Formats: sequence, structure tokens, C-alpha cells
Amino acid sequence: MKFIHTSDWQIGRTFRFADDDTLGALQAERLEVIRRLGLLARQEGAAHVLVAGDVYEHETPAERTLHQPIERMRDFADIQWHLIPGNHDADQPEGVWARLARSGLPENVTVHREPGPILIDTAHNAWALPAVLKRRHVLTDLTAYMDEAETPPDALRIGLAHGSVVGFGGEVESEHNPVALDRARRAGLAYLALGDWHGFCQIDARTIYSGTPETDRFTTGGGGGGGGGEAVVVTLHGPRAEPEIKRHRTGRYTWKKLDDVVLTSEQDILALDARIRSIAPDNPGAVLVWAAVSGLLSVDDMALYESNILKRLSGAVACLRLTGAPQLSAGLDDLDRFGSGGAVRAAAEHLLAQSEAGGAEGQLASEALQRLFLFWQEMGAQAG
Amino acid sequence: MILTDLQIEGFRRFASPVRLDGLGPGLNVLSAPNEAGKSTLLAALKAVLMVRSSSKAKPVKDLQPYGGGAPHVAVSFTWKGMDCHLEKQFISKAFTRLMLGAERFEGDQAEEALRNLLGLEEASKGEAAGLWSALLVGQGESFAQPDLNQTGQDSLRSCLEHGVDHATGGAAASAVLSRVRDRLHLLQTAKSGQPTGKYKQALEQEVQAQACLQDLQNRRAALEEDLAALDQARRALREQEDPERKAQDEAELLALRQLRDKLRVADAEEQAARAALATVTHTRNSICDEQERRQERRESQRKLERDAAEMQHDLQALTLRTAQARQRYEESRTQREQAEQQQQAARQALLAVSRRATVLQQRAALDRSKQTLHRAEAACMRLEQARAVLAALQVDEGLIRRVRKAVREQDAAQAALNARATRLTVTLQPEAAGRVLLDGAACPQGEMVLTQAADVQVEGIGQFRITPAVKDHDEALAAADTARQQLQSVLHSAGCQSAEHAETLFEERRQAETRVAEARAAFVASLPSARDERDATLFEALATLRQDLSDQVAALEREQAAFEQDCQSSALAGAPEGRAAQIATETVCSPEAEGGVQTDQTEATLQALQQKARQEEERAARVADEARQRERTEQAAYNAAQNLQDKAEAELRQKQTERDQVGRELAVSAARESDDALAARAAETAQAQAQAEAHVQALKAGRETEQPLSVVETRIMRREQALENARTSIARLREEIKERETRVRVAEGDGLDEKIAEAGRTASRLKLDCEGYERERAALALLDQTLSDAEKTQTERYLAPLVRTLQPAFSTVFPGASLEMDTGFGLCGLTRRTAEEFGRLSDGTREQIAVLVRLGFAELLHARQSPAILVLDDALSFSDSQRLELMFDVLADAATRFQILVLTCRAEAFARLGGRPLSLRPIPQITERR
Repeated sequence: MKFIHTSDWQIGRTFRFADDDTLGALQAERLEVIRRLGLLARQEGAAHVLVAGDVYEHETPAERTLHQPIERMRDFADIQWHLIPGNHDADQPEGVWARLARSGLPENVTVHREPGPILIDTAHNAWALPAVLKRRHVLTDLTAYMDEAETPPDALRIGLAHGSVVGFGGEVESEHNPVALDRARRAGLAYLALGDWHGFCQIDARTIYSGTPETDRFTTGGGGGGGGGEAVVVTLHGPRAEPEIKRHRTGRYTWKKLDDVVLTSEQDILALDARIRSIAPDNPGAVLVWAAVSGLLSVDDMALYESNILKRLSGAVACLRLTGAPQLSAGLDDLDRFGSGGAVRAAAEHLLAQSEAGGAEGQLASEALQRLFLFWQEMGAQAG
Repeated sequence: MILTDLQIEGFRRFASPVRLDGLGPGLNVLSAPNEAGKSTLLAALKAVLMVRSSSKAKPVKDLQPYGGGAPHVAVSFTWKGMDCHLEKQFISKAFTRLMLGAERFEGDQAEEALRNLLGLEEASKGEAAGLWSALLVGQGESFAQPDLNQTGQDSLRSCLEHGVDHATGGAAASAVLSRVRDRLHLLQTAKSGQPTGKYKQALEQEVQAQACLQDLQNRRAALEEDLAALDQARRALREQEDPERKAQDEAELLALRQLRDKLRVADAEEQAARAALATVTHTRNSICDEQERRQERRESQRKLERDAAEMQHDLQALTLRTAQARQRYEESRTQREQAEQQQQAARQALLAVSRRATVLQQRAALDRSKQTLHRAEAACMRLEQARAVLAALQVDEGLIRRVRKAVREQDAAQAALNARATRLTVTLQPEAAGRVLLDGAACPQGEMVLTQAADVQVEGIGQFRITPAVKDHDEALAAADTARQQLQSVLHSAGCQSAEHAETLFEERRQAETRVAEARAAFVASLPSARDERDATLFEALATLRQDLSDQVAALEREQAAFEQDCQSSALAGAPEGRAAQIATETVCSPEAEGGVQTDQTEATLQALQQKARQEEERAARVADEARQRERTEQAAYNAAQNLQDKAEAELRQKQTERDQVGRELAVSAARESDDALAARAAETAQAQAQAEAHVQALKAGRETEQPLSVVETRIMRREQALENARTSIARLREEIKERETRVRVAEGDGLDEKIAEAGRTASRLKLDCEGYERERAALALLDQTLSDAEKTQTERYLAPLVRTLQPAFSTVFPGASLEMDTGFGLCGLTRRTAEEFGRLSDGTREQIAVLVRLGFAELLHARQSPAILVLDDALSFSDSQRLELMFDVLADAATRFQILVLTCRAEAFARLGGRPLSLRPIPQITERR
């Protein structure tokens, strides 16, 4: 039996740093990835897609948001979609799932709102054992029932849960929605499909976090693994056989965090430019970068920074998020461009002295000086 | 630059061509009356220097003469040794022609060359502006300081920068500053520095976004609350609607009701038994009470009888004591009466002695009065005698005066007669005596006066008749006679023989008067009560004295009689005992008028007696007081005894009455029911009570295990209430669930969480925007401030030469004054002794300063070797002659460096200025240079 394991779609998610256009594109891509998952299933010949929670970002999405993913799934009538509630969309009395149940779901979409074994594939004698979050946070392990849950002999028991495994890789243990590390073994599961962690993570041979299919956070890791953007194609050859796992890239956007970018020279600026452009050289428009910038630049380098990074590179990538900025490093020599005397030169000297004094006022003086250079340059350009 | 010729035509009043004659280097003065065209001349100069000939602006049109025409002006000047010529025509067939030495320009080229030469820039509509507008000073313009536009300032600045060591970059600073401000004012208003434009918009949007977010969060909270409440309500409803629970509740209620009915029956039975028991108990109690009451009464009767007997005994003793007290009281009263009698007698005796003393005193007083009267009467008698003597002497003052007058008159008449009489001096021989007779009598010897014919007979000789030859002899004689007779008559009336006698009598009378006065004084002295010294008063006083004396005598007699009578009556009244009586007797019996010695003795005795009588009376009074005190004590004792006795009697009577009452009551009770019958009835009731009690106990024992009725009833009520509540509660819960569900449906359709996330994103982005704008604004503001400060500092630096240029002229007009200029090249203050603001100076001073500043500008241009002239139209009209003189000095000095044209209508005042006289002269046509 073959199926696609995915989770954490977080439909309706917003991103504070993004401007309206970027936000719209990112949100659209989160929906679009459902189509890509459907296509992947068809391509792989998988009849089922298991979504391990957090289909929705919010407990009360708008009507449109509520129906958008459902309608995407409806388009793939040949694929069975199995959904469980996550911590973001827990199955509360008046929650998203109740709303959807009231309005009716497509036949190929099943929302598992009660724990207990459910036959999902007669041909393979495959039974799903969903863990159902009724609240955002629970302190008990909702997968515990799987140990005792009865299925016919030789059934393929496939666990489906949303939460944090306890005691894995020295991670800080989550207090909420815990999942036992060895649940798959204890409950005799052929596979335990987990959701909640946004990056792919394999706990053991049968216990896997698929991560979100479309990345939604900046990470420093290489490639795009840590932040998600993948789905898992799982092939089960039998109840006791080790599952065959295949990771598949589904995400469109690449999110990248650059810590401690220090700019002190023209080379640094050019390097930064090149580094960002090289993330996806053939498609820089799908790159989101968050760079923490600092350093000291001369007047000319500052102008270069302004033009290369702030103007050109910003336009090249989907989103260039900058925290911090290089400081202007001007000296008396730089002031010579204002002439050897005169009011402008005097003002510049005054500002330079202030900026060298440091502090908030120094910072302000530095910015004022930077602008003075800019104005001077503009005027020179006009005159010249 | 020196103007050498100026010709105009078609300018306002100068429709025909005129020429300004006499122009040359230095000071040029055109003195002409008002309306002579001076201002037109200046306008023409301004136009040719500063206005493009192609201009069609209103000011240019205003230059046309009234009949219309094309203003035409030609000006010649020298510049750097070159002869130059400038000619312009406006409005129609406009042209410009400029010749600079050998160079020649036409049209726009000429305009450009001119502007370059003069340092002018296009200001508006063909009119150029620059420092020159400050140098061609029209009528009325000289009052204000020159208002320089940017070009003018730049021009000045460039003049000044020329003198400063290195370039100030003032223009560059201004340009940057203007860019900074343009950019800054996109973010904040120029005036108040309030956020504006995008910044303001972002701030407002941020506030809105925050409000929106808050609103959404509130709605989310409301939704949460609705969800929680909905869950709660559903659970409550499920519980309420549980049918099993309902059936159980109803069954329990039924059982409780049955139990209640059973309990109610048992309750009624018990109550009846209790009532019967109560009745029996009550009867028994009343019987017992009656028995006890009777017993008590008997005992009380016996006790009362005992008490009465005791009290009777006590009463007898008390009666005896009372009688004794009464007797003692009677005795003390008798004693008191005796003491009082004795005191009375003593007082009588004292009284008698006192009266005796009074009589004696009265008698002595009477004697003294008698003596006084006696003396007064004697004095009176002496007075009357003296008066009688006086009355007998008739010669008083008047009479003696008349006598003396008659004597004098007689003497005068005799003297008059004698004076006219004949003197006869006879000297006889002693032997002739007797032999010579005069008028028959012996002739005396010596000189004689003969007033009448006298006959002298000399014995032996014969008779001689002497007849005095006296004139009016007879009249004189008659007068002498009359005088004599009058004297005689007066003397006679006075009863005197002669004048001497009369004098003697008069002397006697005066002595008599003295005696009368003495006697009277004696009389007055003898009257102690005389009020004044008039006779009538005196005699009245005498009479009063007499009357008083007789009254005193009468009073004394009455007193005497009364005293004697008292003595006799007291002697008769009884026998007063003791010494008092004796004293009284002694007093009375002492004889009265027994002579002086006896009287004295009696007085001494009397005093002793009086003393004794007083002592006796005091002693008797003390005795009487003691007796009275004793009586009161006895009386009190008696009264107390009497009271005790009365009280004992009353108590006894009370006891007897009580005893009788108890006796009667006992008799009545016994009559109603005998004691034995009562005892029998008591035994019966005791038995009945025991039976009733046993019945009640039995009932009670039977009910001990049962629940109290009230508890059961309360429980029933509670159950019923609970059921009713459940019914209402179900209805209410259904309603609430419906309502909440509706609300939740509405809210969840909105997608609140999404909206909150979106609003939060918007708000934080806006916040970032605002922060960015604020950083930008702050940086620009700082830049603006820094640049402004730097520019100001620089300006101040290059203003120094301007001040230096202006200073000499200023010092001439305002000795000791120093200047202060602002960055707009205006003079902002003048410091003489204290700093003064320009605006507060007088009109005259302001005008002088304005002219001096313009002069300074021209000096600057000149120093920079730029063309410069100064034209003043009707300036300095407010200056006094002294200041005017100083200004003339300054102008004359400046004119040695550059040309100055002064146009004035005040020919006399400006005559002292000197300079080249100018005049306007009509010319056939403008001399054109081609």
C-alpha cells in the first residue's frame, strides 16, 4: 500500500514581515501545494493522502478560507484524503470541523473526529488509527489508545497523530499534546504519521514527521529541509515490514535566514548580493531572505549598499527582510567633497562630531550626515 | 559707472523728449518743484536698467504718457574707462541697444549683456531684480530698509564672499537646505513641526489599525465567551433533561407526600392528648394553690395578733414618756416668762434713767437759751438808747453844710462891703483914751473899716462925721444884711445860737452815730441765729429767740410732767423687784430744781445709774434667752415623744385592721368550700393527671422514630421548587443555546482569527512605517537645524565686511553707534547707549538708516569693482537740519567714490549739499547712437 504523508498546511497563515503582495503570493502558494500533493499522489499511484493535523492556521477561519482547501481536495476525486484535527484546528464543539460537517464534505475527504480503528483500504486491510485533539492542548498522550485498539489480524495499522514525541534528540520536552517515542512499536503500528513539526523528521523507521509541504519560516539550515517544503511518500509492504520512505519536495518558496552579515567593504556587499542570488539562481523570485546586517561602510560603499542591496536585490527576490543596517563610516577626508570650507562643510563636520560621540543622538547625527551626503550627491549629479 | 547723459521721451508726463543736463561724476543734484517729473525720470532709469524692452507687464504700460505712445529712453555712461550707451523703447517697436565701448549688442543679447554687467537676474515678467533695486530709491521707498529678494541677497553675498578668505558656500548651503526642507516638509509641517503627509497618514492608520485589532480581539473574546457558555449550557441542558433522573425525582416526591399525610394524623392525636393533660394539670394546680393560700392566711392572722399585742405594750410606755416631756415643757415655759418679766423691768429702769438724763440735758439747754436771750435783749436796749440820743441831735450833715454855706456867704458879703469901705486909722495918745468917741463909743485904736457914716467925737474937739464914699454902698450893705439874716435863719432852724454851736452839735451827732453802730454790732453778735444784719431781721431773730425759749420751757415742762407721771404710774403699777426697780426709784425721787451743785451731783449719779441699769438689762436679756432656749428644747422633746406615740397608735390600728381582714377572708373561703372537701378534690385530680401523662408518654414513644413533619414538608417544597426550576431552566437553556449558536455562527463565518492575524500584521507594519518616518524626520530635522546654524554662522562671518563698510557713514551720522545686521542684510538694531530695535526708532532716524544701508550696498558694489550708482528721489525729508548736514557730509564723501544722483523738491534745504546742479531741458528728439 502506498500513501502520501503530509501535515501542517496552516491554511490562512499570515506573515507579519511580508508586504501585501508577498503575503498574497505566499498564501496562494499554501493552497497551491494541495494541488501539487494531489498530483504527487497520482504520480506515485497512491490512493490516500494522510494529513496529520493543522490543516487550518486558525480556529475560526473565514468561510472562504474554510472551504478553499476542501475544494482543492474535491478536485482529486480519485484520491482519498484523511484529515485529523491539530492543535491549531482542534475539534471543538463549534470548531472548524463542526462547521465543515454542517456544510457537508466531499466523499473523498474524511475528517477523523473520533479515535478508534477505521478501515480505510479494504484491499490492503489497512486501518487508520487517528488520535483526535478535542482541545488545543491536552496533557495526555492521545495515541495511548492505539496500544489496545483492536484490528483484524494482519491488518496494516497506520497511526495518525498531531503532537510532540517525548524525549527525542534531547529536545525540550513539550508539555502539550505528548506522543510516546515508541508508540509505533508498542501499538504494533506499521507506520505512525505525525504532524506538528514543520521540518521533516524521522523519529524511527516507522515514526515520521513529514513537515509542512510549503515552508513558512526562516531557517538557517541549508537546502530547505529544516523549514519544510516536503511531503513523504510511504509504501507499506506488510504489517511488519519496514516502511519504504521517500521524501519529495513540494514547496515552491525557499526561506533563508542569514545571521550576522557584517559589511565593511565593497567586497562584502558584492558577496552578500551574490550569496543571496545563488540561493535559487534560476528562480530568485521564490526566495525569501532575512538578513541581520551590521558593519561600517564608507560614504561610497554606503551608496553601493543602497543601490545594490536595498534597491536591486530587494526587487530580485520575493522578500528581502533586513534587520539592522550598516553604519556610515565617514572621516574628515570624506567631508572634503563638501569643499574645504563653507556652511555645508561646517554642518557636516558638526554632524560627524555628533555621530562619533555615539549613543542615540550619535546614531541620529550619523543618519543626518548620510542624508547630507546623499543630497550633495544628487545636487552634484544634477549640476554635472 | 558714471551716468553722463539721460534722455527720455514718451514717459508719462514727458510725452516730448527731454534731457537731463549737467550729469557728471560725484554728486549730482536735481532741484525741481513737485510734478516736475523727477519720479518719472527715476522710473525711466529703472526701466532702462532693469526691465526688458519686450515686457508688456502692467508696470511697463503704466509708463506710457496719457495720450499713449512708446516710452523711449537713452542713457549714456562710462564704465572702466569705456563710453557706453544704452537705449530702450517699450510697448511699440520695442528694442534694446547696448554699446559697451566698441562692443555692440541688440535685442536679447543686449539685455543679457546688461544683466551680466549689472549683476541682475530675471525676477518676473521681464523685470530683473538684484541689488540695483536697492540703489534706485524711489519716492517714499527711502523710509524702509531695502527689501532684497534672493537675487539681491545672492548678489550681496557674492560681493561679501569676495572679501572673505575662502568660499563660504552660502548658495550651496541654501540649495541643500532647501532640498532638506522640501523633504522634511513632506513629513512635518513647516510651521508647527507636526507630522504631515505620509507620516501623518501612517500614524493615523496605525491608530486605526490598533483600534481595529483591539476591536477584533474584543470580538474574539466575546466569541470565546460564547463558546464556553454554549458548552456549559449544553451540558446543563443534557443534565436537566435526563428522563431517569426526572422519574426518580417524582417518585421521591410522591413518597414524601405520603409520609407527610401520615405524620399529620399522628400529630393531631398527640396534640389532643397533650391538651387533656394540660387541663387536668391546671385544675390540680389551682386546688393546690387554694390550699396553700388558706394555710398562709391562717399563719398571717396569728402573726398579726402577736404584733398588735406587742405594739399595745409599747404604746403605753410611749404615752408615759410623752406626759413627762409635756410637764418639763410647761416648767420651762414658766421660767421663760419670769425671765422675760425681769428683762422688761430692767429695760423700764434703763428707760427711766435715760429720760431723767434727757430732762436734765433739756434743762441745761434751756438755761443757755435764757442767757443768750438776756444778752440779746440788753444789746437791743443799748442800741435803742443810742438811737434815741442820735435822734435828739438834729445837726446832721446837711444842716451843717447849709450853716457853713451861710457863714461863707455872710463872710463874702462882709468882705465885699469892707473892700469898698473907708479905712480909719486911729492912733490915740494914751492920755486921749476915752476922750475920743466913735459913734458914741470909745474909739478903738488901730485901723477900722467904715462902711457907714461914722461920727467921731473928740472930746474937746468936736465931732467929726466920716461918710464913706462907697459906690453901691447901699446894695452892698443890703447883701451883707441878707447874708446875715440867712445865717441867722439857718442857725435858728437848727436850734443853734451860732455857727460854732452848730459845729459842736454836729460833732456830738457823729459820736452818737458811732455809738449806735457799736451798739448795733453788739446786738448782732448777741443773736446766734441772725441771717443778716437788717434791723427787721435782727428783731425778728430776737422774737424767734424769745419764742424758742418759751417753746423749750413748755417742752421741758411737758417732759417733766410726763416723767413724773411715769414714775408715779410705775410706782403704782406694782413692785418691780430687784435693783432695776431701785434704780428707777432713785431716779424718780431725786429732786429736780435744787440748785446747781445738786444738779451736777445728780448727773454724776445718773451716769452711774445708767451704767448699772444697762448692765442689769443685759444680764436679764441673757437670762431670758437661756430660758427661751430651754423652752424650745423641751418643746422639741415633747413633740418628738408625741409623734412617736401617734405613730405607734396608727400602726396598732393598721395591724388590727389587717388582722380583721384576714379573718374575714378565711371565713368566706371556708364558707365556699370546706377544707376537707378541698382535700378530697385534690386527691382526685392528682390521679387523673397521672393517667393523662401516661397517655401522652405512650404516644410520644410511638413517634420517636418518625421524621419531624416540618422537615418533611420543607423537603417536599424543595423538591417541588427544584422540579419547577428545572422546567424553567430547560426553557431558558434552550433559548440561550439557540442565541449563542446564532452568534457563534455569525462570528465564525467572519474568520476572526484570520482577521486578527491580518490586523496585527497591518498594525505592526504600520508601526514600522511610522518608526521609519520618524527616523527620517528626525534625521532631516537635525540636518535642517545643523545646516541652518552653519549657514547663520557663516552669514554672520561674511556680514562682518558689510558692517565694516557701513560703519564709517553710520559713525558720522550717529556718533558712537554700533550696528547689528541680520542674515537678510537688514539692519536689525542700533546700539547707541543701549540696544534699540530698528522698528522703534523715529521715522527720520529710520530713513537716515535706510539711506545709509543703501549707501553701504553701493559701496560694496563699488569696492568689488561692479557698476554702482545711487539715486535718491525726495529722500531725507524727515531729517532735521543738523542730521541733514551730517548726511550731506556722508553723501559728499561717498560721491568721491561713485556717482550719486539726488532728486529733490526742497531746493533751499539741499542747496547746502553742493554738487553738480542738474536741469531738465526739452530737446527736439533723442539723440540716437547707431
